[in-house]
Amino acid sequence: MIVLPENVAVPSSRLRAAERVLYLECEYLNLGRYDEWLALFSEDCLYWAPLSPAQDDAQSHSSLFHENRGLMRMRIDRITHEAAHSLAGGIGTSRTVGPAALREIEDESRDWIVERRFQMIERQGERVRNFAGLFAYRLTPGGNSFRIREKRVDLIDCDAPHEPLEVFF
Amino acid sequence: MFGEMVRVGAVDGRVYTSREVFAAEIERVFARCWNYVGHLSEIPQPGDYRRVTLAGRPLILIRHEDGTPRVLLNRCAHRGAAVVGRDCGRARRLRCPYHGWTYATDGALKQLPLPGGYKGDDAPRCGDPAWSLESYPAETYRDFAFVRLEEPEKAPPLAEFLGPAGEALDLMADRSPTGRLVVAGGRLAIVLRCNWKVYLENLHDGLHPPHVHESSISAARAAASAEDPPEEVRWVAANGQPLSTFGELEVRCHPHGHSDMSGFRKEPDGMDAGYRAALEEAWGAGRAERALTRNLHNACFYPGASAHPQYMQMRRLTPLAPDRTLVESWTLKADGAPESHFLRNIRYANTIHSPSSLVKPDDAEAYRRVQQGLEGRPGRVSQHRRDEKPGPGPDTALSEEYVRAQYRAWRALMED
Repeated sequence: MIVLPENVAVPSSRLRAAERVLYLECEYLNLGRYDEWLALFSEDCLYWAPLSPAQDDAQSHSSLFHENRGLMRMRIDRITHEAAHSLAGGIGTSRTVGPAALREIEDESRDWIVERRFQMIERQGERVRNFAGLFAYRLTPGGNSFRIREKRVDLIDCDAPHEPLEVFF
Repeated sequence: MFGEMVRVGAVDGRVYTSREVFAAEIERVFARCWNYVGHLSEIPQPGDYRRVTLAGRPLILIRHEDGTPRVLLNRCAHRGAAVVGRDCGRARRLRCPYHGWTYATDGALKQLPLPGGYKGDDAPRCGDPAWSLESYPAETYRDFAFVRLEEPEKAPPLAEFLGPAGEALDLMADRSPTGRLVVAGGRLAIVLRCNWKVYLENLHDGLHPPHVHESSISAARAAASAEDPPEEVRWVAANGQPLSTFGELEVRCHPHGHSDMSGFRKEPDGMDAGYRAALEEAWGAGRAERALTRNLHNACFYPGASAHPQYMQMRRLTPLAPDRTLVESWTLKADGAPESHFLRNIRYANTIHSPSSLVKPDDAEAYRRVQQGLEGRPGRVSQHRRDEKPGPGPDTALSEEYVRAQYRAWRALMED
């Protein structure tokens, strides 16, 4: 389900298409199906997890993650490599998400900006960690559906020290 | 007693696992060395402060109203409550939130409620050092502020303590024609599940990259085959150079456990002519050339700080427990340098020093496994004997001489 702003109407087929993309985006990560996950993104996509609360600049300020498609591919290649020693004990993640809300449809690009709260539990070897925050998506129209042009992840403790962060939120 | 746990090139594993050793290290190694407390650009105006924990002590780095940096214990003289609660801010006075004891920016007690309630000669009095926030001597080197927490009378001056290792800080400051650096772009912070020394002992280790970083090297090589790969790919792939390359990197060991290593990542030539001219005017041709071309990968300021001058990074390690270490890093922006340099250095920080770095997790895993192994059988010695030699001289990134140099400093401090 995607909550719509007041006075905004969109065809139900478009809503269902967006819901499906958002569902798959989380579920592919939950299942570790990274190639299919990456295929949901556009060629000019960005995966961004800011380092500071309300950070609006990823160029002159460091980020927890700031990756274009090529760097996302490189991360996938690394975490699926047999010599990724840190993952020898296995890794698994489970995301629980709140209702998605359409914030805006941009006039020019027709991109949808959609946000939802999330919690993620990660198990890596014997260690279990919790993450929580906000997913913000920029969905760009493509064919009958959407592709993800940007996924932004604002952790509630983005500016705190973390142990290594290896997989996507 | 602690000295016996360390022999030349062979260290008792309990040095990494024992709570007793850890507590002694905090008091004897960290509290008796100059510790990096922050950069003056982080407290530009009088009253600007930052909270810092060093050697287990909750501290405030603050700029006093006379413009000098001060380091105060964040502990009210009344009941001991932390006076400052925010990580950073600006204050004309520091007021304890518990009973309102109020201090000046040099720690002097300025106000306390109902002073008539105290009797006797030793009663709390405004301005009395005994009733002020404890203050520690701070010194700066090119605006990098360091503090000495115990036995300040025994401390060599900061410049003497840093010795030749200070070159790394000079190289960064000399990248600005005004000598002015500004901490910019936030703080990256990573927690490692290892003893602090395990982390330090990897700083110039040229033997580990092909093994530890195999997964990220492989991923970067695949990415490098694409057309015009970004520099992030190049930085990660640099770990995949042959061991002979690391064998050519110069490692210098300095007094007090410090050391530095030449760089194995190369940036393409191409320098802004106006920028070069400005540096030459400020520092002279030779010094400007050195600032622009001396490729120093990192420098260790034993025990708790390191710098990556080529990419303008300052790092501080904080021992949290025998098996936990915090590493923070900051990017320094050089006043008057091209913006593109700063933006590149931010990308470098994201790629190499962020908790999400593709390089870092396998380093962290190697450290964790060392820690686990030593905890599993703590009496067993760990070896740092590679390329032993009779006296001082040039070393390479394939030698473990810098680890032995760290232990020489450790022994001197722990036995003192």
